[in-house]
Amino acid sequence: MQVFDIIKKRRSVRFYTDKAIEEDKLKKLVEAAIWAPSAGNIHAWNIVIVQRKGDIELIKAVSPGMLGNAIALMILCADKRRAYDKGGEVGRDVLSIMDIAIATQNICLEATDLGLGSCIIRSFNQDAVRALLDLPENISPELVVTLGYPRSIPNPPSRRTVEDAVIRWIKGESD
Amino acid sequence: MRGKIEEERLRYKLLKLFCYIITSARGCVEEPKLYGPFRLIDSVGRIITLLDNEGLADDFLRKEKAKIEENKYLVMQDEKGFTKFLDELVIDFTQELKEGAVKK
Repeated sequence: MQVFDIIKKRRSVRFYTDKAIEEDKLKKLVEAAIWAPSAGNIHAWNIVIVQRKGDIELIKAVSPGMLGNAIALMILCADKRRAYDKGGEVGRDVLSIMDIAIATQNICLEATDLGLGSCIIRSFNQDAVRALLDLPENISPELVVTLGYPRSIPNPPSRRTVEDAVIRWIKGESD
Repeated sequence: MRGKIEEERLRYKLLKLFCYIITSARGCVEEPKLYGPFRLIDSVGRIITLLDNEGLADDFLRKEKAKIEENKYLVMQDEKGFTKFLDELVIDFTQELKEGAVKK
């Protein structure tokens, strides 16, 4: 598929079949995240992968935004210490989060290309997820991505037009 | 009478539900305004599911649960439609409450 087709095909999928996700596909998703751009090439993030059903249920219990089901979770965590050591306060508070957002989009686009559904979730309690996963204090869960083979694919919601999105377009002399 | 295992199973289900409601409450402090009504109505759906699994839901509750499942995602696409759906739920439950009061 062409990149633009994948971008338009990606949906926030919340209901999945019971089919397990192959390990090589999960690794491919991590690889897609690794190849995302990173401010200062710092890559101050890590991923936790959860496939065990009981653990997914526990994380779901403290994640109000996690509706439906999930066959696997990828939890993208900022390494706040690394982000601060390499990028200072901006690195810790802003850039590491932006990096995670970009990496997450790569995961979702690659998932779409692999026939998987995905949904990005920010409505979860970070302290609770950290406690459930026994993560150290400097590792901050920032986004949860649910994954699986889609049971149903939602219709695309409406989108703004190019004219609505661009508030100013300064064209060159030749245009 | 419920056995100990049954009681523990129910307690665990309730704990999961409480976790959902409590983390929702915490999230609503900062999250978009419309998430609040969504979480409340989703909680109603989850409580009915729990009751249904315990054999305690009736036709009315099952019908309303189906309505909630069908319409709750309007919050993300159609705010007016979501509000209209909440208005309908208010009437459904009020009517049921009124009929229950008459029976008593």
